[in-house]
Amino acid sequence: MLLLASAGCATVHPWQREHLADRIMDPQAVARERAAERHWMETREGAIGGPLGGGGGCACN
Amino acid sequence: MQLGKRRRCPAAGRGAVLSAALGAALAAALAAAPPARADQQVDATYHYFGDSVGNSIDSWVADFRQSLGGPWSLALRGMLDRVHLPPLPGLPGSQENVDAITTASRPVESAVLSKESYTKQREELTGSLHWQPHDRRVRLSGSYYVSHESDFLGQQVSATLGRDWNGGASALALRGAFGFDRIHPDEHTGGDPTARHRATLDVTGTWVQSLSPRAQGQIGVEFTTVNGYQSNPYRKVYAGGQPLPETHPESRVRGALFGQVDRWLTTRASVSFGARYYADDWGIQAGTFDAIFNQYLGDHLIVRYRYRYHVQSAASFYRDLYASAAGIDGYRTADYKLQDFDSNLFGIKVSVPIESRRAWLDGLLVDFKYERYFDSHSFAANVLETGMSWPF
Repeated sequence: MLLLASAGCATVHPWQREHLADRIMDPQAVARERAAERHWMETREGAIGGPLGGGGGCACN
Repeated sequence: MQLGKRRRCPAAGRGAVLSAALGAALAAALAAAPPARADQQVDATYHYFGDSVGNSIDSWVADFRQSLGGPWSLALRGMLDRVHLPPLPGLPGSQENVDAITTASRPVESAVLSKESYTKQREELTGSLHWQPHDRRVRLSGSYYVSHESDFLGQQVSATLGRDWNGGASALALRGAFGFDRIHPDEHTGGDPTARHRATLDVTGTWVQSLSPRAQGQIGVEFTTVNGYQSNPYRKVYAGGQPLPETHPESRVRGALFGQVDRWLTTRASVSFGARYYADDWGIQAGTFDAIFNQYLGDHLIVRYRYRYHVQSAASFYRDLYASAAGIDGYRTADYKLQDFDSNLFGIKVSVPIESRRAWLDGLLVDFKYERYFDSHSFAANVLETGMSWPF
């Protein structure tokens, strides 16, 4: 978090983002996959919240 | 498998009617789609989950996104789950069933039926509307989600505001969601058929930052409050020498802090490290670590390796065995999610681009994924997934 905060003033111009725009650098590329993962992970783990956990669903699952 | 261009948003439906409506909506949207535009895509995915105690889930997911002209776009997502549960190891309500994972997931109408497998179907549909002008500095979206099972109806409305700074090098997203669920238990031996309700309010903030031309990171926070029925109407707890209905608190406040860093490597590869800390007022604290390594093989083929570790403490009222029927502070649970444990997940995924001279196949991408999950209570599961993305 400190790393992110200290980088707040760093400037990365649009023409410098070739690698950041690549498929394997896109956090949203796994968003759909994580949504499907929630369906079974939420039945196994009691801690939800954030992009790495499960969430939602019915208590009777 | 997947068809088209993605836009995340969970979707749910209402029984076969919703499934049919989803199919019709997708077909109509496809038919209405104007000729090839870059932000149109349909994704279709098949997902299989099978665990060491005989439960399995087959999931089919379809995503579709359509530009509506100007800054507006529409996204639809439909999901159909078929959950297969094995026969119970003991009689309904017996002690053998108290600890059986399957008792958490199925109603039991009689002792005879408890010895037969059980199949449950879940449908989801999500529709979302997005507004993003050409300068892309501000984004707004709203969505509606509905999920239906024979004993459950969940709905959620949400709104998201996004804002970019520094030419897109910094981005903030704020999301608020309100969910309202209705739980109406199926026929169940010794069960209470009373319908119950639950409401969920969730607020999430995420900051994404470009750290360099080869690295980016994100941090975020999420708060959730849940009020209403949060027990399992089919689960019994062995307390004071007798099986009793599970009783959880009707209020829960949950919070999570999370962060992730992605780094491009000179070998046409990338690494990603993520971490999350979670706490709630039921006494659970948890930590999760996630690591991903992506590698291009050739021009387009991608191989991904993943490892995930999760550890959590138990809820304050969780016990393996309750000495009295009163439980702990009046609460009883047999929910394995509320005990302390740690888990590991290993996975590999291969994304294969299909190259063809046929224009309609241009951009087609096929995915295959396998993951192995296991925890410290001897539970294990295999996850298989195949998908296809097709821009058109």
